[in-house]
Amino acid sequence: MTFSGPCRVLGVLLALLGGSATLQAGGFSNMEFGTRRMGMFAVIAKPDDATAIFHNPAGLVLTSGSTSYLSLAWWLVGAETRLYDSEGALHPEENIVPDRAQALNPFLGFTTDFGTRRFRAGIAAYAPNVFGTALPIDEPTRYLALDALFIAARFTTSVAYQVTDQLAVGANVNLLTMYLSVASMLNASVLNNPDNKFKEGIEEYDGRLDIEGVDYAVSWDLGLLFEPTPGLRLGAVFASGVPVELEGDVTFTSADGEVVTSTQKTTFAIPFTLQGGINYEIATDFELAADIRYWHYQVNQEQRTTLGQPIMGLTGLVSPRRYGNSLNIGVGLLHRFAPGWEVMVGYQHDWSPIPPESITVENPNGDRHGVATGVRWYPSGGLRVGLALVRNWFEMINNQESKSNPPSNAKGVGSNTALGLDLSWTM
Amino acid sequence: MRKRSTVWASWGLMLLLVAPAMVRAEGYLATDFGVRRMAARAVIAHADDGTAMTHNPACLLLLPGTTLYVGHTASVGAMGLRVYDAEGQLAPAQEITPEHWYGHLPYLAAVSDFGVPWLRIGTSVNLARARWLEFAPTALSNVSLVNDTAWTLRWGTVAAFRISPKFNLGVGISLLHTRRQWSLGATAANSGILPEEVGNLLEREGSGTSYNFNLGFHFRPVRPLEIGVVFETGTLMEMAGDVRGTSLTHTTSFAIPFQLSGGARWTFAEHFALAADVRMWHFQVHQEERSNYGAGIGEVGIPRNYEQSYAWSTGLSYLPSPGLEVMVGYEQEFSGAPANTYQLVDPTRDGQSVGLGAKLEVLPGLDVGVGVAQTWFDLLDIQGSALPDPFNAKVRASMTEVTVDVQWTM
Repeated sequence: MTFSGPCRVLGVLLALLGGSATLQAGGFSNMEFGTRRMGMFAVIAKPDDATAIFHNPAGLVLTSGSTSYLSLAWWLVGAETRLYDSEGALHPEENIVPDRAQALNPFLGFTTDFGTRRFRAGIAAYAPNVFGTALPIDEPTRYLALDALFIAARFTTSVAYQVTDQLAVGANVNLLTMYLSVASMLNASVLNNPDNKFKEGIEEYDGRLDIEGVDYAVSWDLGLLFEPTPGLRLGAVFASGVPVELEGDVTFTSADGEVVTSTQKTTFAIPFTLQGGINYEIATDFELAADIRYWHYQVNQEQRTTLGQPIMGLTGLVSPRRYGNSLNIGVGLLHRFAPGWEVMVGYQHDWSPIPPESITVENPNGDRHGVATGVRWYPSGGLRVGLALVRNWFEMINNQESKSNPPSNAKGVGSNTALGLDLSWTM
Repeated sequence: MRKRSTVWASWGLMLLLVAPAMVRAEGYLATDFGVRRMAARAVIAHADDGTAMTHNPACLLLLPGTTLYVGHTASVGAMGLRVYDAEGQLAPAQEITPEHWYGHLPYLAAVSDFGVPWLRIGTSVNLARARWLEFAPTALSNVSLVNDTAWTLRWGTVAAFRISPKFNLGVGISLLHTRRQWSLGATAANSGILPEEVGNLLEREGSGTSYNFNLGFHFRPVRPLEIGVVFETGTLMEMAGDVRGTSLTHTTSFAIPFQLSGGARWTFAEHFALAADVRMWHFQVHQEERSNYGAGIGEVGIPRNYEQSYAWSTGLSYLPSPGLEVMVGYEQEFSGAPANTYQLVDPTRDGQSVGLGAKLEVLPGLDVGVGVAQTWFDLLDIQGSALPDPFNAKVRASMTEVTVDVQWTM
């Protein structure tokens, strides 16, 4: 079935439903939980707070007593882009900058040893992905995306057991909930000639398309933690993938105020993840650590959407995704420079699974690299406070092969800055 | 038609107005200061002289008492090129070579602990880039450049703190002032606006001032091992000036990218140390450069299409006798400048360098050093220039640098 006019734009927006769900270049989930991760980018072999529930459940054996934990990472996302016309010229004269682009990663956890030496349990409620962006309504990007909001939250139950002095195992069960909404303007003139989106006066014929979806799923994780020799720790984690079905409403409001509604169901896959880490105490008060994470994103080759009631003849859509796999490496150094004080620095590189022709304006994720620094302070017996700063830069996006209509061929740069704060209290 | 010639003329002007005057392939601000950098090529984890002000501010804690540092790096470049015609034939028969291509990078620094073991305050004044490059006005390459005189003065202040016996932290701020004077020949693109009295040479000048910050970490987990990490912010440089012989003025903006650096130094045997550095410049911010000429021409831009730039280096240090240190090193650089926007005003490409040098304590507290480095740039073969005045050419280049420095510790 060949779609034309409004149907094609509806198809583009439906295609965005899955693509919008990745703030990070690497995985579906943002990994920046806890000062150790945010301060040095390497945590899997020594997750020594309640964020072990997310990073490596076996690491819960590094905690003792009963611990309450709270953290929050706040992201400011910067992006500048210009769009190519059919002649290869960039528009407009000045870069288009989002009105808003922010993200949050809250984490609330509780762990306990139940008075035992080898057993740990924990629960946590957290949001690996809360990302919202709004693009200007008076720029040509409004035909590609206007608003996007994605929320992915988890509730995790975790257990860990110290099998021997050199081996611990841990497991998680996760309840996932996801909500996504995207909006865009629609204009028949732009559909007939994509270069018309750069013309003034065309906005009075704009219609608006809103699509939303929500889903719940269950996944599981398995973690291992080895300590072959004192001072050397190795961690390994497998996080299962899960199929996702986002269901919700579709609303099209034409330029003359007519409203057409329907429902939609979109399926895509969250891939499984393999993670490994090493932490080595290279000297007294010094730790050198590295993490590697792999996401099997190649499972996302296409995305299927069906509509409850046809809209303008369209009953569904199969969108090519053509994702590759994704990789993230991080390396960091931790130093205890005074009793009760730790400082960290780190570097990471992240390879995005999204091919250039599939990168979208509202979610311009390409490969990226970043630096981080953090401090942790132990002011009294059971209290620990952490503060971290992360700065990432995305590789420049220069897409001239977009398959969408109107094409999202663009040249742009992006970056983000995150400030993280955590508080841990062990009773 | 007049409008078209004016637009093309503005493109021609842009060719020279904003291209960064790199001395090396890597960053905008030169890094070849001090004998350790020049000879061992790797310095970030152990910048033990006044050039720590720019290499790694946290390393100021390696300097005891009060230190005065004077250094100078002189460079001489060699280049040969031939230009492709529309048929793909190279001309002229003999290579075009510059009339001269040299640079000078003086460095003056003062650092003091003010009698406090955990603190160092330092200030420095240096030329972060200074280059003179000139070709004959009649050379076939004059569509790209005739001459370029450019320098950037940097005045920096750093505070460094010993957080623990194994951890130093340094922060600094620098004021940057750039001035350039450069010219190219009158071309089909720009001759339309040249007054007769200007002749066949289009000459401009401009200057601008900005500032940036740097943050350095220095760790020493165990006695033989040092680790350094540095972040230096980028900045936006706005240059304003005149087009000589015309009533035109310009305001031109371009970005100096931020820089990430990391290094390690390991004293693996008595009297021997091995060091390595990695540097990255975020040159992808340099996609287009814009100039505003005011009424008549307005704002115009030219594509730059830069990518990231990297360099890695490794070096060996040997102390054959008390007070004497001998160093050798190797470096490989990966330029962020693509071939299709290449200009002679930015004549460097990917390259590799070797260095050799020595430092000697001639009197108690008085060290002198000398270092030399030779860089060979990869051959450049451009046949797809994307510039308004296409510059398709085959270019070879190399550079020799010599550093002499004196450090007096009171």
